Amino acid sequence: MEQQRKEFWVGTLVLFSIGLLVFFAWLLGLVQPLGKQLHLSVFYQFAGGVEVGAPVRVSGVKVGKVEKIEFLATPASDLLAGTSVKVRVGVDPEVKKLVRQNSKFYINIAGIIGERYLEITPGSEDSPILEDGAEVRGMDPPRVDQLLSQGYGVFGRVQEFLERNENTMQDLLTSVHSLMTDTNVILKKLDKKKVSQLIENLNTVSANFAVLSQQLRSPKSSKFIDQLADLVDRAHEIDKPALQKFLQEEGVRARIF
Amino acid sequence: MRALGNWAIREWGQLAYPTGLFWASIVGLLKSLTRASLRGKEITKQIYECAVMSLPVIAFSLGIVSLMSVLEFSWHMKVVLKQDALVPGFSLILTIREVAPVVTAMLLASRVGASISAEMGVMKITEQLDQLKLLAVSEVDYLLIPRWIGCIVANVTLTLISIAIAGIVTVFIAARWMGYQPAEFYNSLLLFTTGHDLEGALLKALCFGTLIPFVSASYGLRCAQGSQGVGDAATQAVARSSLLIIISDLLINSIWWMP
Amino acid sequence: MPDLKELMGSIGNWFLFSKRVIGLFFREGISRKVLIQQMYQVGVRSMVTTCVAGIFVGAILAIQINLQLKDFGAQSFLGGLSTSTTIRNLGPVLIAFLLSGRVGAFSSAELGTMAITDQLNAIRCLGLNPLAVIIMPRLVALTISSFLLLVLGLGLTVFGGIIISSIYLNVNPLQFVSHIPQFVSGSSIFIGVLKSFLFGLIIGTISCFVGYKTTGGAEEVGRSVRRTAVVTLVSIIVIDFLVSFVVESVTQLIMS
Repeated sequence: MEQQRKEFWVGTLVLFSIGLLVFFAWLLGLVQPLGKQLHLSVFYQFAGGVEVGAPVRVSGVKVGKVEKIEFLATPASDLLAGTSVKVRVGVDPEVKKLVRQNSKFYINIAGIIGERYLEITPGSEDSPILEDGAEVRGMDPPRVDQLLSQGYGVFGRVQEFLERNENTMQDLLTSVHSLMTDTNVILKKLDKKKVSQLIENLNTVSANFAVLSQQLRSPKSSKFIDQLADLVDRAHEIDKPALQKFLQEEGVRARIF
Repeated sequence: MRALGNWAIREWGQLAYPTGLFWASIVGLLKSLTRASLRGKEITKQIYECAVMSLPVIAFSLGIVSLMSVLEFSWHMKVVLKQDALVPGFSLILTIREVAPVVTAMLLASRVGASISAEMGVMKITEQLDQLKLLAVSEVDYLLIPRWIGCIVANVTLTLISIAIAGIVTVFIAARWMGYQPAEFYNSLLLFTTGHDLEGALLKALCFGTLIPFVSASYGLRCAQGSQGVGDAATQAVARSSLLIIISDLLINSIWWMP
Repeated sequence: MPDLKELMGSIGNWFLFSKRVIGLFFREGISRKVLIQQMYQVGVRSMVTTCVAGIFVGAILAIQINLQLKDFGAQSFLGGLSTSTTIRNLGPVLIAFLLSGRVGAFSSAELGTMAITDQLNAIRCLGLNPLAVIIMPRLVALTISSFLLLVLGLGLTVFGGIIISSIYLNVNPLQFVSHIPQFVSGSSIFIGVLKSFLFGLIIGTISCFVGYKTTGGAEEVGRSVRRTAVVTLVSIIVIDFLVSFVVESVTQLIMS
């Protein structure tokens, strides 16, 4: 009787512990006993630091995790050309209806410690639902590293330029500086009164000009201009030999020019 | 310096005997497995003694330790870092990786270790061990292997149960008191914990579960005469196995979670 | 519930016993020679254990805290956070665990042997009070030396952390030390010392009580050792929690 009681308790304890172990494993996502998951292969050219076990989210809700990451020796098909990484993800069956042909697969960064995750945007109603094992092209994340390295290149060139022309730049800067100072001095030296007088004079001049241009447009002045043009036309023919001839005819011997 | 050297040599010598027992036990275990002569009843009894009888004490202690861990971490995070979003995750992960296996093993070392060495010591001074020898029964096969199995089973199961208790206590009690949501615990737990951590905790449990019976038995089997000898053996068993638990804990920590 | 009744009975007995012995200490005092002799016996012999324990506990917690901080890239806080955690909370507990096995169980076994070999009765026959002659000096020496050993061990945890983080975790010692003052305030050290004192008291009273109450044969001595170790561990955990709880409540009261 005693022995049986002990055996009962030992059995209970051991079974309970095995149950706990399975429960922990399930809690940590090591095993998925319930429900058939939807498996997808997402192809990227650059996976942006996503790791095995990283969460997969649909509309910001965690629904699965990255199961496997492989490198591809050759592109899987024409559609997926240029990709080099295959990220296999498992997604809970409840979101099957949202993951469609025109869903987009982003790799994002979130959270306090910069955790990487794979975001799937829900597809629209009219595009077909993705089957288990479907292969899709993911949206490559922005290559922050490349951006940075390009930025570094640009900055490097700017720096190089500055370093090479250090003396010239300095001269330029000093001359610009002295120019500014001189201008400043000149401006200060200018008498305000005189300047205002000058401006006043300018004002009257421009007013007179206005009157003049007004008068120029009148019929009288246009007639005058016509006559003047006529005169000039005629005067055009007066050149050096003509003048000489005219003067000889007039009996004037003049030494001209 | 010389005293230190002597001390080191002596301590090393202390380890030699339990190691010898360990190899003898492995050989004995393999033999018994091939001959299918493991004594099921004795093993059941030992598991019962080690695991079931220690369950209340360990459950109680671990509940309190995990509560304390949450308290202390919330103090640190609030006062020092001015941010307490990750308290649940921090305290739970420390419990899983470190506190649950070590505290369980310490309690088992003092409970089971002392009783193993006292029991064997009494057998030695009452000449029961000599009788076993006369009957050509190996003390390793007869006494040690059932205790070893019992201890390992006890340590592994109790570590798992302690982790569960720590989780329950932190989620339900600390969450109520300190205003954390149970979901927060779960999320921050997932953020920090992987299967690797759970395996590490189980590895620790296995290792400590092996340490305790061999160290204790080595003192029990070499027990000196009289009640003083028994007392000494029990004391040494507790002290040495606790110390070895701490040392092997450091070793496992540094190897398993290699930076 | 006979178990619960028994448990309560033992706690009451332990309390009365401690009260009586400590009362004796305050009434009669203790000769320095006896105290030093006793402290040598329990204290100095456990020094190596304590040093090893302190260094290892510091190292273990540094590794664990490092694991947690690594995810944030906040390894520079390692020194401060691990020292603070070690001193306030886990350091005293783990070192006290080791001491309870070493010092507590040792004294309990010694007293138990005395009790069952009628040495205590012999003292009674001589017309002396065994509580005053044997128990009281031991209890006082145990308490004081456990306290001192715990404080020593706590101090050494810092070195353990420094050693492991410089050779293994790539955090150099200066970096480790520089963050300690930011995290470890006077109150943390006070809590560590307070806990050490209470643990010392627990180890002293429980081991003396259990040893003194031993009856029977050699088996009982072994059982006493076991009982001392287990009861001390559980009491240490409970006391640790109570201190943390009270301090936390007080902190919240002050801050709010």
